[in-house]
Amino acid sequence: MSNLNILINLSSSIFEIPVSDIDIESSQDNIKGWDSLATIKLITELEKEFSIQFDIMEIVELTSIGKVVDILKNKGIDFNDS
Amino acid sequence: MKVEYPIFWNQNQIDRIESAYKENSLIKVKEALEFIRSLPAAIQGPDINIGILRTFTLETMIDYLQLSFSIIPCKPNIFFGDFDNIEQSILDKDSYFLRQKPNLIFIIWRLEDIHPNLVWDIDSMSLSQRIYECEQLIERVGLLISGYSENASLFMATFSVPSRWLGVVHDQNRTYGIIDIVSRVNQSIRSYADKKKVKILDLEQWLSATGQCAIDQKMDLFAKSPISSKYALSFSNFCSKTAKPLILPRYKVLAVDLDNTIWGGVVGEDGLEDLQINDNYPGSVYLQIQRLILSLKHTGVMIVAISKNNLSDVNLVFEHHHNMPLKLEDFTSIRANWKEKHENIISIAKELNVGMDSFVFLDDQKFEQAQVSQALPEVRVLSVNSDPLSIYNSLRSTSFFDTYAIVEEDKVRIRDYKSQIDRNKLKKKYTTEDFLRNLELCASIRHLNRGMLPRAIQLLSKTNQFNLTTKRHNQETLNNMLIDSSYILLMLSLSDRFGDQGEVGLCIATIDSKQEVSIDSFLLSCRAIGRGAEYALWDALIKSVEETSCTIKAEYIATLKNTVTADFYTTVGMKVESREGGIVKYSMAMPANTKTPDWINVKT
Repeated sequence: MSNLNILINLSSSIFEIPVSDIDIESSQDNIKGWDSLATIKLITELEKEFSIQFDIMEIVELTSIGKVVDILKNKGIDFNDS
Repeated sequence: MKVEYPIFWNQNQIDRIESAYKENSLIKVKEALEFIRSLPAAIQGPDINIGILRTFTLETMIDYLQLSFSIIPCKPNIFFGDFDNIEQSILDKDSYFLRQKPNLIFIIWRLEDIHPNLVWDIDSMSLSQRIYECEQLIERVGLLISGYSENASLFMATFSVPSRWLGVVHDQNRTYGIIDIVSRVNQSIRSYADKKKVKILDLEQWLSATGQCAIDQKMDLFAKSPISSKYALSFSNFCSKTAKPLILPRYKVLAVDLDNTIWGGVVGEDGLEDLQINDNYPGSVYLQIQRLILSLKHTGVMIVAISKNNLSDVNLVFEHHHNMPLKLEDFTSIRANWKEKHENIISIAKELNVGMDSFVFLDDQKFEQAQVSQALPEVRVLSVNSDPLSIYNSLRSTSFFDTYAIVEEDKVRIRDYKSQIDRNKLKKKYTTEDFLRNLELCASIRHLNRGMLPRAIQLLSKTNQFNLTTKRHNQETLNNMLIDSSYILLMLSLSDRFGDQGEVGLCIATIDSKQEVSIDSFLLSCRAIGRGAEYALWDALIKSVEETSCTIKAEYIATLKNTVTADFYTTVGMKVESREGGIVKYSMAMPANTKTPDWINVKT
C-alpha cells in the first residue's frame, strides 16, 4: 500500500467517512469529523504508523491532508509514487 | 500482550481480533470492534454501561477501551463525564452522568490535575502546610466515597508520582513531599476497597509496570492526553482486567498434571530421588509453581490433580518429598490412573458438583491440552509448553482466578448469558478416537542400527511403566544382539501434528532353530502411552517374522510399575500358557491379525 493510501485509510477510520470522500484537498473546514479529538488521534496514529515524531510547530500545521503530506514528506516519508 | 479471549469464541473469530493486538493500530482496533459487533448477540456478552470520570483526555482511547471490554466479553457502552466534574457527577443523583445509568464508574485522576499548586509549589511550603494539603486530599477522597450512594461499582484510580518529581533526591528524602503524599493518599484510597462498592484501579501499578514510556509528554501538553497511543491497548486492558471479575465469575477449580508440571521429571521413570523440586534450576521453578498453586488454594480455588501415574507412586512422592510446598491434603481430589484426562475431569466435576465451566486445566503436554480442550470445550486450558517457566508465567498472569476479595462478592454480571448459546455443538459426543484421529499420528518402525544404540539403551534402562519384561540390557549385550542374526531389534518412532516425539518404543525378539519367536523385551516410553502406538510396533514384529515362523512366545513380568501393560499380550490375541510368581507366559500361533489402529499412519 502506498503511503498516501495508508494516510487516507487512517483518515477514513478516524473521521469515520468513506475513503472515497477523502483527497488531498480534505481539511478541517470541509470534513465534519475532523475535530480536535480527531486531530489527536491523527497525530498519534501517524506517529505510530510511520515511526516518526511531530514537533509542536508541526502539529498546529496539521489542518488538511495536503499539509499532512507536506510535513510527512519533510520527515522523509515517500509520497512520490502517488 | 497476552490476551485471554472468551471461551465460546472460536479460533477463527479470535484470529480476526488478534491482529488488533499485534499491530496496535486504531484501524485494526476499529476493524476488530466492527467484527465483534457482527457476532451473534449471545456470545457478545451482557450490555454494560461504563461511565468514566477523569481529569484528562481519554476520549481518544474510546475504541481501545471498547475493544478491551468487548473481549471480557461484554457489550460496553462507554461515556464520559465533564472534565474535572467528579463530585458533581456522582454525588448529584440527577446529574447527566448518572442519568445514563452506569453499571461501572471509573474515576481516573492525576495529582497534577486536581492540585497543580501542590505539585508545582511544594518547595515553597512549610511542613505544616504540606501536611494540611495532604489531609485535604485524603478528606476529598473520604467525602467522595461517603457521599456516594449508587449501586454501580466505583473504580477509584490510584495516583502516580508526577513526572516532575521522578528522581528528585530532596523529595525522596522528606516526609510530606510529593512522593510521600502520593503514597499516603493512595493508602487512604486503598482503605476504602470493597466498602460501598469501591474497587481499586491501580494505575500507579500500571505505570510502574509500563514505565514512563507510556506517557506522551508532548500530547499531554498539547491536548492533555498523556497516555501514549502505543500504550493505549495496555491501558485499556488494564482497566478491563480490573472490572472483569464483576462481569465474569472466577474459575473454581485448577486441575493440574503432576509429572513435569508441578515437579520436574516423571516419577514412574526417573524415580523419587531424581525428581526436580528443590533450590537448583529447574527445580527452583517447580518450587515456585507449587507455591503459586498453594496461594491460589488460599484464595479459595480448589486444586485437583490429574496424572497418568500409579496412585502409589504419587503418594510416595508426597511422602518422600515432604518439604514440597504442596501437600496431599491441599488437593481437593486426586486422579492418578491411566484414564484419559478429560474422563477424570468429568468424574471430578461430578464429585465436586461443579460444572465443566469451573475448570482451568494445566498440563505441560500439548497433547493433553489439545485433547482436553477438544473433548471439553468449556474447560479453560492454559496454553503452556514444557518449559517450567512458561508454566509459572502462564499461571501467574492468568486472569481466570481474579477476584476482589477472598469472600464471595456481589456481581453485576448478567446471569446465564451463556445458557443462550447453542450448546448442542459443544455437547456433541466426542470420543478419544476422534481426538486421536485429529492428531495425525505417524509411526515409523526401523531395524535397530548402531546409531540408535544409545537411545535403545536409554529406553531399556529408564522405561518402567510400559515395559513387559523390564530387562535392563547393557551396551555390551545389545552390541552382541546387533551382530547376532537370530535377533530382531525394532525401534519405533512417533510423530503427530504437534511435533516429533522421536524414538519411543523398542522390541527385542529372537528366533530359535525351530523357527519359534520369543519376545525378550517390548517397551514404550511413557510419553507415547495412550495413542495405540504399541500395536504398530507389534504388527511390525509380526510382519518381520510371519513368513518364517509359526509360533510366537512372550512373557509379562510384573513389577511395581508396569501394571498398565498387564493385559497387553491378551489384547493382541495371545493365549495365557501359565501364571507363576508374577510371570505370565503367553503363546500364539501364526498368522496373526494386524492390530494397528486406523488413526496411525505406519511407515516402515
